[in-house]
Amino acid sequence: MREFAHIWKHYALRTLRRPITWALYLGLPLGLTLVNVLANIGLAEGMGAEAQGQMVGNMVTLMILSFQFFSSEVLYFDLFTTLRGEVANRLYMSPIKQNKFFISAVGWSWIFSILQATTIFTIVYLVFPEAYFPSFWLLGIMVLIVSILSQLKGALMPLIAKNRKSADGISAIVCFGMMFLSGGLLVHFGDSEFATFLMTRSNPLALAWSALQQDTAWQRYLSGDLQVTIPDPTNFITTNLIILGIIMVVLFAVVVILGRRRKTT
Amino acid sequence: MAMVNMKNVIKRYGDFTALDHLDLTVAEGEVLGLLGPNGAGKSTCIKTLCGLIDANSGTVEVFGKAQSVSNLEIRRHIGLVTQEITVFSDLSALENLRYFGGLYGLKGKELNDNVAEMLDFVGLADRAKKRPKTFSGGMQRRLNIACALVHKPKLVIMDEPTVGIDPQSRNHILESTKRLAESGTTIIYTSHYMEEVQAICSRISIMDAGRVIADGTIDQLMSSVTHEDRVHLTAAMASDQLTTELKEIAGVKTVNVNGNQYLIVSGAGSGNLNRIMEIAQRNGGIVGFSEEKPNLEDVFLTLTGKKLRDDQA
Ligand SMILES: Nc1ncnc2c1ncn2[C@@H]1O[C@H](COP(=O)(O)OP(=O)(O)O)[C@@H](O)[C@H]1O
Ligand SMILES: [Mg+2]
Repeated sequence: MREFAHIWKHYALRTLRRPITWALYLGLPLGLTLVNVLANIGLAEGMGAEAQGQMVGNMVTLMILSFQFFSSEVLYFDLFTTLRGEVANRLYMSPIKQNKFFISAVGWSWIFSILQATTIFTIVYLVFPEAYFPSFWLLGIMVLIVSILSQLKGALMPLIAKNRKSADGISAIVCFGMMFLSGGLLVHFGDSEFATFLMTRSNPLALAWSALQQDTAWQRYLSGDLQVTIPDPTNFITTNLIILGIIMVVLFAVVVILGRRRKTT
Repeated sequence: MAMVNMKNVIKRYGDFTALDHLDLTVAEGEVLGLLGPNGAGKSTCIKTLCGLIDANSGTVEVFGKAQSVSNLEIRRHIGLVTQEITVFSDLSALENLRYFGGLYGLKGKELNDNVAEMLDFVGLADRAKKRPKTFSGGMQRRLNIACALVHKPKLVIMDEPTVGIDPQSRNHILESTKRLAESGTTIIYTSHYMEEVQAICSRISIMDAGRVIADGTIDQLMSSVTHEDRVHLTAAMASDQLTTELKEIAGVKTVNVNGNQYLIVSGAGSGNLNRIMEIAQRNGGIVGFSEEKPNLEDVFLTLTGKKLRDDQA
């Protein structure tokens, strides 16, 4: 434990000292979220305060979840530069198991991700009290799941990509791809069954976001704001949670298997 | 006791054989120079004996125990000065040292003391709070060395610690290495600069194409490639008496006279220089002399037919 604390302390020092950490992983997401919220308020003009609030809440949820996937770039950036870079030789010359460095990096990035989500949420919550949000516990669980998936994605990068550049490429395709498929990039797929599948089940972001959107609507309905009756989303949400759990286990297994293989070559 | 014992070690990268039946031993307290051109396999040899990579076959023992990627205990007593500068640019010199020291379990007073001692040792005490990116290349190299020594290892391995730095830092590093050796630390010093190796090492292993092709003290290596010692002497006054006396020295093969210039050729390792000087003094005095000695460059050239460094015209 003392070893982890030691490694972590210096990890935190190193990352927090880089202005780029603050700019790219906190400033940018926060800025984009706020701009997005303002734009959506504009778009939803005339729909009524409640509908606006729901739209804003859904957009913020999407942004928080999406940035989770981007934020693990902190992780693979470090994995590429230190654990696979030249400094690795010095770290691996110490009597500390290699995977402790790896686990420390993942752990730190995970905390950082959750910190990011919490900050964005808190600020939006304070600045736009009229926004509708899903129940906090579900939002919390989804952020937790997505942040873990994101770390697994970050850990996978140095195992599958040749170098950081190609990792950046793969990461961008994955992140924007998921946002696109989830219907978050303002492209609408229509009402077909396939379109619904894309937007609700096609990838982890879609699974998490659609569950949260349904819950937001349900919360609004329960509070008496919604004039129409909507079906209870519990089954839908549970199914999505189960699928997300399966994805998590599979991805974890892939990282462990590839990681082991890398170590022995 | 042998600190390092490598026998018949083979390491391949794909189809390429980087270490080809390599044998290497280092005794306690020794300063071994590992000399070889770029690509000879020096770094690969070092990584193998540090347990950073595993050999494909052969014996690798450090401190009498089998070395491997998974042997963490042996690492406590090895200090590797990496060929590349491996310090964190976002941490100050002091923080780097504290970080790497802490990885070896150092803490409290012991850590503070070791860190302060190392900063002193490499002459960076007044720069302790500065980040390495504000350092010159030579200072970065020195920090790189300090980080490898902070846990007081008994075996120190330096992989080309002076590549691409200013002469002042280079001298500093050579001096530090000598002091380290005097304190009893066993050192493996890798370089493709033969002057450095010649200056600080008690024994030298010459590597080429993944194997050790020659091994011994500097004198042994030199005498292995040359069969004669040549001394050039400028006498104050030429005389037949001088010529005769020089010819009579045991081991002298020929004496060439050209005006007052003498070339005295003896068998290898004859150690005739003092005798020559004494005779010349007695016969009118000496204006100048020089000994024609082969250097390690010649040794390498003779053994491989190649130059040690491409950058030497
Ligand atoms: N990871 C690697 N993969 C493939 N080839 C390598 C690797 N590391 C070193 N080599 C090759 O092995 C040879 C020896 O390299 P190295 O041990 O670094 O030599 P030196 O340190 O003497 O310059 C070189 O030809 C180099 O290209
Ligand atoms: Mg090398």
